[in-house]
Amino acid sequence: MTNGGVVTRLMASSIAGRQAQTNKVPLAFDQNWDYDTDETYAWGTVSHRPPSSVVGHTNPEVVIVRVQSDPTGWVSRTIVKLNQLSQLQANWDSYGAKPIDRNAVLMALSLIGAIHSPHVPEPTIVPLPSGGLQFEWHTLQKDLEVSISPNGQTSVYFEQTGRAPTISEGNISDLLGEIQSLVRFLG
Amino acid sequence: MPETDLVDDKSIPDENPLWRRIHPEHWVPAGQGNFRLSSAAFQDHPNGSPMSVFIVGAESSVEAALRGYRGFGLAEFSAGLARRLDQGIHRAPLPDQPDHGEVFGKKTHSAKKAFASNAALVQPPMPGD
Repeated sequence: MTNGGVVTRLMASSIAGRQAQTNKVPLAFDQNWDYDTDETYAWGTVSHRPPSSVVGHTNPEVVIVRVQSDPTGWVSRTIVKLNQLSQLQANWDSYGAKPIDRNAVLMALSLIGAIHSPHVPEPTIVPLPSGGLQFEWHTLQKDLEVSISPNGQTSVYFEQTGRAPTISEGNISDLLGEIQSLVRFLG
Repeated sequence: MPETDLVDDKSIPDENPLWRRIHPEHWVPAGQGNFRLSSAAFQDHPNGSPMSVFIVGAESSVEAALRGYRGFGLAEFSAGLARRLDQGIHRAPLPDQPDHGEVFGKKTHSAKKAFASNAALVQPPMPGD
């Protein structure tokens, strides 16, 4: 696995098979970061180890987000942020929010791998009360929000000054091309 | 109570302020050192109940609204704004929160964004607090 494309395929195949189960399994999120010395490549390895009674310690789920380079460090920061958000407890928003669903974290990691490029601005990732996650980019003239539910249902909201906002809804896999186009347009 | 059975309480005037607590993670960078509210802060409960608010009255106070919620902020929008976004408002007092109410109606992404864009901060969240 030497590029982001391979990682994306890994995610796509694993998410579908795990979805029903992972929605009910508490998130156990271990993180291990490393960089090679010349910083030509940067990668992150995120190990998801479900409780032994469910899957077993000998079968950790590992998601690798590998990008060609991370010169601004936003991939690193974003994955650290995901780790933090995954530790939110139930009722974190004081209004009965659910903990962040591990399936949403997996999809977010997949999205990071799919959209990252040196020309794409750093997103802000915020937790959703449903247990999902939302990517946001706000500039003076453009707003882009990608809301991901734990079941993969996704909403893409884009607004540019002086124009009517556009909203697309559907499965994250079906909207990936549109998301990739919009984030490049932000830069 | 099913949301379809709820009725907009017209005794709550359009100019009546409504408050909602804001988690620090929902106070997001907006470029050039600015911050803004995230649309993620304006959602119904995950259990399907409508979005909780404080229907601000004489008994309401910022201190009471935020007591026990360190780092949280408090956003304010009007009942009229909610109605313009096809929402209704009704009182739903709780034993420890007599000014509790709910904003019901479909929270489209556009509606949540409009809440975030038009709400004012009574008390800013304090990330990292």
